[in-house]
Amino acid sequence: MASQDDRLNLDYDEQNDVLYASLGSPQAALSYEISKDVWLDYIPPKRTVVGITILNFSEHYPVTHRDTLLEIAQTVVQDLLQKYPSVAIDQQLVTIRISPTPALQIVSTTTATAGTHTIPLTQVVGFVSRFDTLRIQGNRQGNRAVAEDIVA
Amino acid sequence: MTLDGIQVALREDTWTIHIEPRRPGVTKADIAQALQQPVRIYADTSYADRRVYQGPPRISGFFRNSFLLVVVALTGERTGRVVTAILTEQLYQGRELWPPKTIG
Repeated sequence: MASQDDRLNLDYDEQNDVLYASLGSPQAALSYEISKDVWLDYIPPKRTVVGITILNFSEHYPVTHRDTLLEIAQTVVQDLLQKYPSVAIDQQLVTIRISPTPALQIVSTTTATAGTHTIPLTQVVGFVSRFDTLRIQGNRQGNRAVAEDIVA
Repeated sequence: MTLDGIQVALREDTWTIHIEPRRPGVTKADIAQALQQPVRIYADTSYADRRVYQGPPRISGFFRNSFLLVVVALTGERTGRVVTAILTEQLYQGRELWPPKTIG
């Protein structure tokens, strides 16, 4: 059973109760289980969701009339795409360090990880003269930041 | 035949209509390798009649380090069928059935 519009491309495997959805044609991608049986497809290094696979679809989203399944599936997938436009990042590590040259810059190095992929970002965020090292480690899920190794 | 002695069938329609077009880059050989030479076998987190086979990591190509998870529905004591296959870098959360845990 399949359905396709301009962007959303759906396919339901009735025997195995698996719903496959993709934005446009299916592409080779990695999958990330965001909740039980719901897998988001993405193509690294980008995190943008390009498809969704839902196992045990009819158990998660009971359908009373079989002929409305794809209609319901479309709504479910659109809701999920709105909720998860990109794959969540497991952990974000932010390191702020004072570089001694050329002018005591504060350099922020952000490394976001999901699976084995890392996304580095380095930028100068300011200038100071009092501290040698300031390291802040944050976890995106907990929104908690800890400052450590502050040397006057 | 899987490493743990399950005779698993991959139905032709499951492959040609669903998995092959929906999982470009995944081959029947990849599925067979995950079933016959898994790195891990898991119990499904919700369904007692399902197992998940984790294949070896890919050592080259664009999706290097990723691996295949093959979901199998048990249809009898020693038989099953492939439900789907998922390429991922995320370890499955189910209880590990294989390899056996060793102490010491």
